[in-house]
This record gives sequence, structure tokens and C-alpha cells, in this order.
Amino acid sequence: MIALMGNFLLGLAALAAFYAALAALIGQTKASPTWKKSTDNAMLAYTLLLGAGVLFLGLALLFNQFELQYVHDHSSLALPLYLKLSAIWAGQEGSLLFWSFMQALFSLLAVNANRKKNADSVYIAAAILSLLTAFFAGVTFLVQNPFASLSPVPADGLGLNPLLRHPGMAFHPPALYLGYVGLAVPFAFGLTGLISGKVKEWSQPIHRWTLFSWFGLGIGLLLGMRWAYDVLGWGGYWGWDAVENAALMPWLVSSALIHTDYLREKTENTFNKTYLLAALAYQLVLFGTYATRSGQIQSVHAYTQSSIGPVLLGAQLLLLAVSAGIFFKFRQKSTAASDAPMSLRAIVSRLTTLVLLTLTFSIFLGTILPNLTQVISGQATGVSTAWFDRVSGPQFALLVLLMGLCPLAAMALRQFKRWQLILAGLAGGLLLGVFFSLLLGEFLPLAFMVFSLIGFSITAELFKFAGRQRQTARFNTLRLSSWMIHTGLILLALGVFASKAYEFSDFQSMQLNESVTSGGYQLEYRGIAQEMRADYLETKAELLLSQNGRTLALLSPYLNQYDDGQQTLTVPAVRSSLADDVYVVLSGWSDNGEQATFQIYINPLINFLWFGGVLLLAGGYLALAPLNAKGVGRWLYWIGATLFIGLAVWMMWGSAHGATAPDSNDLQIGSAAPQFETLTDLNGQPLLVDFASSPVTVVNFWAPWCPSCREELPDLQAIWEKYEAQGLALVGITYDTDQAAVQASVDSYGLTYPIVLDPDAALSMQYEVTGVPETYIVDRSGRITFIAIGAASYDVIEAAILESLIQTEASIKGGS
Amino acid sequence: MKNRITYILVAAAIVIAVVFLILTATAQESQFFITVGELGALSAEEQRQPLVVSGAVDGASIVYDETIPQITFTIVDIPSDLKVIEQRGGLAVVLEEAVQDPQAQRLQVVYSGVKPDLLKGSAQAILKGQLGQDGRFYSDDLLLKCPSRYAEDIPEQVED
Repeated sequence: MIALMGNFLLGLAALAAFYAALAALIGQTKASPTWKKSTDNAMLAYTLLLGAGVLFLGLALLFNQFELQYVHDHSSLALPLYLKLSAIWAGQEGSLLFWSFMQALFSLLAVNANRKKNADSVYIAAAILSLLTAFFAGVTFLVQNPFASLSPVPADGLGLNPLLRHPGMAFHPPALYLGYVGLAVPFAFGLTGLISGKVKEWSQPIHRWTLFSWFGLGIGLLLGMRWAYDVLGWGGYWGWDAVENAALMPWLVSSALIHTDYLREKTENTFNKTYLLAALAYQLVLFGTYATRSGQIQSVHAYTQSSIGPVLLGAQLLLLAVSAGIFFKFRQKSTAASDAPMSLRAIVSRLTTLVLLTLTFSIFLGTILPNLTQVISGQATGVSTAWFDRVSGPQFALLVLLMGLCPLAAMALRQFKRWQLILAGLAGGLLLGVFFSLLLGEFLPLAFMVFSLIGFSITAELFKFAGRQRQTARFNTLRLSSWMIHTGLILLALGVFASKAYEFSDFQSMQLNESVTSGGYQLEYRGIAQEMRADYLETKAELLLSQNGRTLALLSPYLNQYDDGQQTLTVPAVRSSLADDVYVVLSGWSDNGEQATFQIYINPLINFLWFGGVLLLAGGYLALAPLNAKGVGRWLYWIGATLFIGLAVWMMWGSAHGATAPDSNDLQIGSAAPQFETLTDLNGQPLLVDFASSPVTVVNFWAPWCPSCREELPDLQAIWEKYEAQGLALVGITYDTDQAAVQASVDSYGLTYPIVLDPDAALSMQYEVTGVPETYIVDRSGRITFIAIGAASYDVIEAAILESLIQTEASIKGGS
Repeated sequence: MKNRITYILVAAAIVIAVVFLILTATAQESQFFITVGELGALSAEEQRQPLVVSGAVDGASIVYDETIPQITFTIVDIPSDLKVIEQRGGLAVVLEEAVQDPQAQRLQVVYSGVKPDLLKGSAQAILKGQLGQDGRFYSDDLLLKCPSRYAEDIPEQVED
């Protein structure tokens, strides 16, 4: 019944779309209002039918209708609600249906918006867009039908792969489809413009739709990267896989398409270029669907291979031939424009287009090389991710440079002289180069150059921002958005480069309560906890992350085992700061957690990538602002903006990512050390420790059974012998109740400094001691100046004592 | 006119530089994509190059030492031609049959790294690495495609 209804909706929609294409063609050539009206009706009909189809599939998923093969394959009773809905696009068939619906909706919207403005040619566009809808709906119906039924009806479905159970994965595909499907519109409008000769009229709608698609692809890419970073657990976010590349390439080409538009005002002759770029972008979209869905391109993302490959490839080649044929017949013949002088700005803009295209070409080549060499030589030869890094890196750097040169070339900056800008840019570059090299603690010549380049471009963009906003009194959204997009991209480049050039990864096998130092951080392993969840076993580890004695976060990376351990899901814990991310993966454990192994990645400046990405998308959203909208539309837009940015920020940093803040009352360097009441030493004598009476007090927590404590004791004794005469106070505190064992240690190490018993661990709790040994150094004012979790050597303690003295002296001098 | 010449010169320089980049990178960073069966057919010199080998994972052979971390397992030859795979009933069937087949060619793999989420029996493994003197394949880059209980194929990337 469900299957029948679904098929009915889908089949009818495909027919309606095909009819709409024909009716539009007749309406256009005969200039017949009746046929045009009929086209409008058919377009509305197929959009509603496909909408109903998607709704129907959604309901079938929601109500667990496992008689549909698709529902059985991609959902299950136990799946949470939002994931049941996202299963609409989780599989090949459902996603094609969804694609068809979007294609229908965008066709309807695009044609409606131009019905009045471009009344004499809009039905050409209606015919092309309806034909595309007919194709996708037809393929869904005939080749990849989501409404195929199963008999007998299974009791439960297979469920959604654990790796896909993530909010990022719920929104990543539809966002990408906004871009993929949206790019059909500039292509169709480009064809319409060429055929009708109304190039001026169609340029503006092409620009808007390109911007929209570019924005959608951008969200999809960023969400996909974040998902990979949060879920896949290899510390990175981009693997140069064919399917990732398939989304990046149309984004690059649509970036170029957006830029050609700026030249349009100056010379009449750019519509050819606009059309070619729009056609290329859409060809790349089709290539992307082919790569994802045919199984022919080597990719880890691809759906299981299916019979759809030849259909898609055939359609793509046909479309390529048709769009080339139409171009040669209808292209804009060149005018005298080529003799006009070329402005500096035009050079920069054209070079940007060129680099975007060479970059796209490089990525395309790398992606299809295995197939290409297979055909040519019979031996498939592919390239590594290092190839992509090497080939694309310099080209991305060139784009950053061009973004910096753009404000220099622009005529709008009359209030700054060009040499002032160049000087400021160079100074900014030098400053950032030095700053980041110092921050990251290692001078790499190449990195210094890249940081300087980024600094140069950021400075130039800042001047552009200042100059332009001053120029016009009114708040100018378009200029602000352009600034946000470019600055966002530069910051993103900074994050990508620094996290790559300075990446650090480490593997640590740790005993319970052991502390290790890795990449400038200390990690203390606190054990694992296991819990049985709905359909998996969750194993969560706890690690205390600290740096220079300051506790930063409690990290809980976890590992879920599904299907009796057949499939696992590794979720890293990420502690983010402006300087870097500490990214920890639990890779295994033994003896009930007595020992566990962790993969640790330090990704420097990576948050510039996410921040730049959000800024870039916010700029894109701003560029899409409905300029003429009033009242409700305007409000909706701004509410949408707030929600969107809020969601993006939450995705990046709001959701926990397995890192929780340590208790804010935790002792750290600078906090006041808890004062001791009167203490009792081993002989039962009272001992007074008053911080004010000694320039430096060292407090050491230890236990006789602890190996690293025993290692430390001789060093402490040596410190005591050297500094006692100079007024140093040193006290060893042990919460061990076995006084004989304590006494034995004191005797065998010959300890002469005061040792205090803490039988009910009251003192240790005041100092939040989580394990022994821990050492605190306190200055005369009672302020903690040093904390060591784990054993500290003679040299470390001595240095800390001297440092504490210097600080105290400095503050006394400063105070006087 | 002067600007136009500048533009053409710079553009030409960029195009030449990109072509140069692609050529040099390809010379150094390209690898043969082969199956386990094709490995034996390569010349001794070709075998020493970095290679990308794909095959079906034999689940029973997986040994994971998490303290190093290192995994050793065996991969079994499967055909690379998609048409052949489809004729035999799809990738899932081909992978399953390959693992069961005692006659199929096998290759021992030593992978350095944490055990990936999708590494299990009858997964398709795509390994980048080099053939060692001992006849085992040493890899630190592993891609996995799984005809799992779940219908979707999942991106799983492991980088060294």
C-alpha cells in the first residue's frame, strides 16, 4: 500500500515534469499564454507531488514501515527521532528522491522570481529546469526507487550506521544539496541568456543563485569537515577523497563565477565567461553525483555501487554536448571591449579566476588519475594525499596573496596612498610572521613566510574595511559581507596551514593514575568506566589535562562497541583554545582499565579554521540579504541569521566534545594556598607552618608505597639541606595511616625536614590532591607559584623556588 | 595595453608553475593501485615502490597490539573490475567468498596505528605502503569500505 502510493506520487511527478518541459517549450516558441499557464500549473504540480513523496518517505521512516526496503535498510525501532528523519537522505534512493524534490522546488522558485522581470525568455529556463527535474525524478522512479517493498515484512530495520549518528551528518547532506541542486539554476539561466540574447537581464539572477549555491556548498563542506574531525578520530578533517573533492570543485568554480560578475559592469563581453563557468560548475556537480553514486571512482565515501553509473554518465555527456553546442551557436560575439584599458583590479580579479580554475583542474586530475591511467596504460596509478597538499598548497597561498592585493588594486581606497597600504601590509605581515613563529615555539622558514603572507593579506583587508566603511556613511551590507568572506577565508587558511605545519601526534600507553607529558601538556589517566547503552557498550576514559600545573579540563574520550564488537565508534575528546586543540582518542585498554592507550594530537591554531569558516558563512549569509525586503521578510532574515550563526557556533565549540571544565575552585597558580591549622609531626609534636614567616614554602604530598614519591625524596632532602639556612620552609605531608612505614622511609632516606601525618586526608582534600606525589610552592603572601602533579626533580623544584623568590622581590619593588 | 601584457605574462607564469607542480608531484607521489593478485605480477623493481593494495580482510587473522600500536592481518585477493564483482552478486558477496576461499591469493599486512573503527572480517581494505623484505606489506595508511550490517558505506580515514 505504502509502496504503491509512493510509486504513484513519484511516477506522476516525473511525467508532470516532462510535460512541463514540453509545455514550456511550446509556450515559449508560440508565445502562447495558454501553454505558459499550463507550464506554471505543471511545475507547481510536480513540486507538490515530489514534496508529498519526501513527506511520505519521512512518515514511513517515522512510523517504522519496514515493508519498504529503504526503511528497513536505513532505520530501526531504536533510532532517535531526528536520525529517523535524516535517514531520508542517508541512502542512495532516498537522497535521490530528496534531490529531485529540491530540483523541483528550486525550478519553481527560480522561474517564479523571473516571470515578470524576464517575461519574454523565462520559459526557456522553465523548460531546461523542468527537464532536469524530469531526469532526476525519472531516475529515482526507474533505477533507484526508494519505494521498493519487502515481503515478508521484517520486524525491525538494520538501523543507521553508528558513524552517521551525529548532528553534523544529519545536516551535512541537505546543505550540500542546496549547493548541488542550486547550481542547476545558474546553468539554466546561462543557457537562457545565451539563447535569448538577454544577457544583461539574466546576469543578476545568475549572480544571486550562484551566491546561494556557493553558500549551501560552504555550509555542507564545513559541517562535513567538522563531522570528520569529531567522529572519525584521526585528528584531521580533510582526506582529499574523491567525494570530498567532488564538493570542493563546484565550490571553487562558483567562487570564480561570483567574481566574474564584478567585471560585468565594466565591459559588456563577460557573459560568455559567466555561462562557461556556470556550465562547468554544473558539470562538476554531475561529476560529483557520478563519483558518489556509481562506485567507479575510488572513494571511501561512495554508496555501494549500483546500476546508476552508466545512466548518470550518459546524461552528463549528453548535457556536455548540448551545452557546448548551444555555446558555439549562440555565444556573444566579441565587441571592441578588448581594446579598452585593463584596470589593475581587473587583473587581480582575472588572476583569481585563473587560479581557482587551475586549482579545480589539479584536484580533478588527482581525483580521476586512477581511472585515467587504467584506461591509458591498463595499470591504475593514483596519487597520495601528499600529492594534493603539494599541488594545491601553493595555489591556495596564491589565492591568499590575491585577496591581499585586491584592496591595493581597488580604486575605492582614495584616502590611502598605495605605498601606505603596501608598507602597512608588509609591516602587518612581518608582525604576524614573528608572532606566530614565537607562539608556536619553533621557527620554520616556510611557515614564517606563510604567516607573513597571511598577515599581509589580513592587514590589507583591514584597510579595505576601514576605507570602505568610511567612504559611505550608510551601512553597506555587500561590502561588509565581502570583507567577512575574505577575512574568513584568510583565517581559515591560517588554521589549515598551522595545524598542518606544526601538527603533533603522540601515542601513550598509561598505567592508572600515571601522568605523562605530551606536546607541552600533562595528561593524567584516571581510569575507565563502562556502561551498556541501547545497542552498544560504551567505554569512557577519564584524563585530567593540565599545563604548567594548571588543570585545564577533564577529558573523556570514549569508544562504543556495536554488534558484539564487530563495529566500533571512536569519539575523541577535544579541548579547544585559541592556541590549539588537544585531541585525545582512546585506542584500547587492558586489565579492566589498569592500563589504557591513547592517541594524542595537538592541532595548533586549528580554531582559526573553524572561526574563519563561520565568519565566511556569516558573510555569505549577509551577501544573500534580501535588499528590498521590508517588514516580516526582513525580520525573518535577521532571525534566521541569528539562529544560523548560533547553531554554527554551537556545533564548533558549544557541544561538549568530551571535554568538561575542571572545577572552577581548583587550586591553580596564583590562587591562595589553603592555610594549615596546627600540624602534628611524627613524634606527636605540634608544627606551625606560616607562609608569611618564610620567603618560600614547599609543600610535598607523598606516600611511602609510591615509587615516584620515593624517587623524589632524596631530591627534596637535598633542597632542604641547601636552602634551610636561607629560611626555606619545607613540609612533607602523607595521608598514609601506616606510621611505621612512613617512619621507615624517613629513616632509610635520612629525611631531616618536617614530615606530617594527615590520617583522615583532610589536608590533602584541602589541596585537592588526587594522587601522590604532588608538590606546591607558596610565596610569602600565601600565593601558589608552582604546582607539580607527579614527581618533580631537584632541578625543577630549585628553579621554581628561585622563580618564586624573583617574583616576590619584583612585586615588593613594584609596590614600593 | 601595458596592463594587458602584464596580465598575460603573470597568467602564463601561473599556468606553467602549476603544470610544473603537477608533474614533479606526480613523479614523486604517485602509486600503483593493485589487487593482491596483481602484486605477484609486478617486476621486482615495481614491487619495491610505494603501492596501494586492496583486498578483503580475513577477520580471523586480525591481531591488534594496542601498546605499540600495530595490527597484523591478512588480506585476500578480490577482482578489481566492477563488472566482474557485480556479476558475482555484489561487493559484499565477493568479499565474503574471497575470505572463505582457501585457494585465493593472500597477503600479510603489518599496519602501524590504532585499530580503525571499521576494521573487521570481510571489509574491503585499501592499504598504502611498501612490500617488505619478509614478503609482508608494511602500511601506515588504511582505508576501509564495509558491507556492514548497516547499508551505508562510511568514510573512514586513517592517516599516519
